[in-house]
Amino acid sequence: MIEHDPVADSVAAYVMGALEPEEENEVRRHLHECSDCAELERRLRETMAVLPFAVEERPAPPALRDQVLARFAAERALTERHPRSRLRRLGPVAPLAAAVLLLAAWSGFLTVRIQQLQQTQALTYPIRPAESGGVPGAEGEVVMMPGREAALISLRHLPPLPAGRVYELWVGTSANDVRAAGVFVPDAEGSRLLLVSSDLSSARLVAVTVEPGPYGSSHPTEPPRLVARLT
Amino acid sequence: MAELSDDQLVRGLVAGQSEAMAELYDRYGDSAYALALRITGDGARAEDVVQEAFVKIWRQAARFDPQRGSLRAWVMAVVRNQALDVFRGRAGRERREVDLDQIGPDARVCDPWPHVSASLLRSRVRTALCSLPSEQRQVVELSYFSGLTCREIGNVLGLPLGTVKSRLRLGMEKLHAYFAGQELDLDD
Repeated sequence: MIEHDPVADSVAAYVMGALEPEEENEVRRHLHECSDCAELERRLRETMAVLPFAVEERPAPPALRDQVLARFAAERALTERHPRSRLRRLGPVAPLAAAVLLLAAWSGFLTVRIQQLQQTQALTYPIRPAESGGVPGAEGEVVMMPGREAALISLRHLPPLPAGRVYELWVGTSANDVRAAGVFVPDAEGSRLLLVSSDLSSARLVAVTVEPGPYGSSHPTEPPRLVARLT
Repeated sequence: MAELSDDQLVRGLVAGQSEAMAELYDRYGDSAYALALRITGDGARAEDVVQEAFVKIWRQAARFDPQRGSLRAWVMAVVRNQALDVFRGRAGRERREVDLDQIGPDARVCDPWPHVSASLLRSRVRTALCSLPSEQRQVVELSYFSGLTCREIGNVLGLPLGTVKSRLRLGMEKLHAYFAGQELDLDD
């Protein structure tokens, strides 16, 4: 057994992801050539795999299950509706669209990109609480891509929902003619960034309602909480 | 109904079945949240981490090979990296995606007790960690739960780089020896 072998020490640090990039590459190459170190790596990875269970057991909040399932449903719906080939046709905005498709919670970077788009050819429409039954303080905007092929929808200050409920986004020509555009739950700060990637040339309205989770409804079951008029 | 195997569960995920995602969450949601909470120290962030991690697992599920590693080990590795990205603000500058290949070239042994319940495993692992000399446990925890590099740990603790690496390896080897000496009933 090697007790104080610097190379073996580096293998342990490599397994834990605790090396600087240059040394990490050196150790990776070494592992292809040294069976002893490769065996050490195997043992240490085995050990590392059980370290997550060193933490105290803390049951997740009950609502998290619904949030995960709602998020999954929303992501899956977006992926099914908008395969990569379509995103590529968006041309210069494709990297942005692809990124937003992930509905990233860390939206600082994306917010900057929205601001960049707003300075180009994109049109921006405010999202406001509905006049009746609206969500006070909530706000956002619809950033329509050039050609109205897609829109980014940024929402802020949304209140958290009770277990079993999700927000649902609708797009249409009027309050009586909308189609479902996806369900979502806001992040801890009440924000969410969404991509609607379909032909929006006839869309005149974007609305948000609260629906049963995790899959939402095929038609709105309540008056909108938030509305944006795309005119 | 018989419990789904890792392979069956992953095939359901690849097919986009909501039931598969629900089953994945029911199996690993609590453990994932506990780990994310330990790393981020914040309940709301931990919830975000779990959401992001489970979506990531679904997106990468087609690449999962049960012959190469347990689903549990992979899920927890994805959660750890996602949590460290948040905790250390790595997302924009140094993201280290957990790739299936990074679990190990021979990942069949990565999770030595894939069928042992999380509660039993939790008890054994905590006992094992407590059995380490404090200076080794400290380095292992700073590396695993805080995501610090050896150089950073050395700076924090005022130790030479070589000492940090040595303590890390000795601690991990002792943990392995401890686990190897345990006789767990794999049918638990």
